[in-house]
Amino acid sequence: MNRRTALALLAGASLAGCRRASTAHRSIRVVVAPNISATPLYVADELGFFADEDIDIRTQVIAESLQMVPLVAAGRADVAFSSVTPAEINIVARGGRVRVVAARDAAVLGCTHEVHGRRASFPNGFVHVAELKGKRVAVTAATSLTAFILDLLLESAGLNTADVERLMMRHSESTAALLAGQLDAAVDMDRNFSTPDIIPGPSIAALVPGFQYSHIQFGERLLDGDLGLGTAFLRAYLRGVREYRGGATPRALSRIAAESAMSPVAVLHACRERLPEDGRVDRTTVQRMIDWSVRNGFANQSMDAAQIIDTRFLERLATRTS
Amino acid sequence: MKRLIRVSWLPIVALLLWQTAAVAGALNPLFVPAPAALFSSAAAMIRSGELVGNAAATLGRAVAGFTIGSVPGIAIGLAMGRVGAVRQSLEPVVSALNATPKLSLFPLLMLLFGVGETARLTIIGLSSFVITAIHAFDAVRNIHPGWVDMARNYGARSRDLFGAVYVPACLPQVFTGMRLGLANALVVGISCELVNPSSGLGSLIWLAWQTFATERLYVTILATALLGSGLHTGLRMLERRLVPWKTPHAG
Repeated sequence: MNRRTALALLAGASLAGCRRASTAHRSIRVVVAPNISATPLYVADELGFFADEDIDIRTQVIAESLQMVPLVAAGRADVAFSSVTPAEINIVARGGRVRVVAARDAAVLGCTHEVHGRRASFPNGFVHVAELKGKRVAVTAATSLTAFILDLLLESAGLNTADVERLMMRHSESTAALLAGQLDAAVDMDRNFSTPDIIPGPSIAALVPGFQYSHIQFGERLLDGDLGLGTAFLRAYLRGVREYRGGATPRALSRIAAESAMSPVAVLHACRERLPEDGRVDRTTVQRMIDWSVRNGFANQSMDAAQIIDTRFLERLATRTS
Repeated sequence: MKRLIRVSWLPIVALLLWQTAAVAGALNPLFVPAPAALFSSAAAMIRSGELVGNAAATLGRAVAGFTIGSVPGIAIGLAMGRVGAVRQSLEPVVSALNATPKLSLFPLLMLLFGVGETARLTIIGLSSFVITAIHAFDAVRNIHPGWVDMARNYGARSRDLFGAVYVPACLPQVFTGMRLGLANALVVGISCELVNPSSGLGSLIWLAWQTFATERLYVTILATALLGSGLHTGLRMLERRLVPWKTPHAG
């Protein structure tokens, strides 16, 4: 090896080291549930929007969205693609650093369906919530978004949880149980069933306008560190949303379908309007979740939705854009 | 007294160190609450009846499932040990069941039996069945042939051998199978409660995790450990009473 080659190798090694250090600094760990609403994240990644912001995304898929926020609170992840949960309310009440920074998935009339029923259980169609009375209905967990939505739906018809037989099981199990006739309905946030034996029920979009299912949550590192990093993450993600709504389809479609236990066709044709382009958080939805959690004894103390929402990132984004 | 000190010094020292670290601010109370906070949380959960009620639900489920599974398990295990045709027919099935993670059958059982207690009891029973059957089978196979010969030399007929040799010789290992089966019934029962919550300590753990009530999470996990330990001790005592001829463990 001559001197010139040795110097070139040394310079290359130094540059590679710098690059690694830079990437490590801008790397963001995201925990995400396997469902359609996470698709824009993959679109943004594949189209290089995160790379444009010098962000290296490390995605970890977690089947149970209720487990995400504690992971972020514990510093094991930086971002959670999750709904507001009672755990988050309790964490915030105890001084934990997790906040909602943007909306991710919303109920849209004619686009989303939160509850599906077995056709045989609803011979006259499944149009009114009151038809759930006396039926076996699955939610994923007592503290989950699905349980919250079931209560909102029942409330709108003057019913409550005691008026149905509420069962708890995961989506994969509730789908099988519906098909096997062990259930009458399941709150499942649009699994795009491809069988005629299962029909969509009344939509929460008609009953609670502006309702948002899930949000983007930041942990301590993004909340208390460089605000620019969190803002850059949101900018890249929202570009992904716009592209996805505009028709872009991620190459990882089959993987997303497999992870969400849906057919690639169902994922491809899923309604895309549900993903808000501006990320604006509906405070009423968050407040409803807080009040519901306190009412059911899942959260220890009530709080204003503003305590759980951090608007700084979207505000910075709006300022930069304008 | 000496024995009590030997048994309890380690947990007491650990608790003191833990409390000191918590008071010194070395632990984040959000994730690792102080022992004092755990005691007050446990007291509240006991006062409200929540801990006792759910422990009773778990215990009832474990004992019911264990009974459902262990009675046929012991009978079939003994039959497998005694009758070659039964062993040849059932050993592959029992081995296959033993190698199958029981919780993986839970979704299937829910489809077959519905989403209720039947599926939970079936899976607990199945796990107890396999363990007790294998131990009962081994117990018969491990009987020293000399004991049978000796009984015969003293004039025991075939039907006498069962009560005079097989039962007393098998009981120690059958009891070992029962102890392991009951512990497994508790584990599988709590796992079912975690996967498909209704009532019980597993449901309580799951709820505490979902609501990030860390004190309650720790308390319930400790209660689960205590319940398992209590069951183990109870069965050991019963064993000492019913099988006094079992060779005690060294020490």
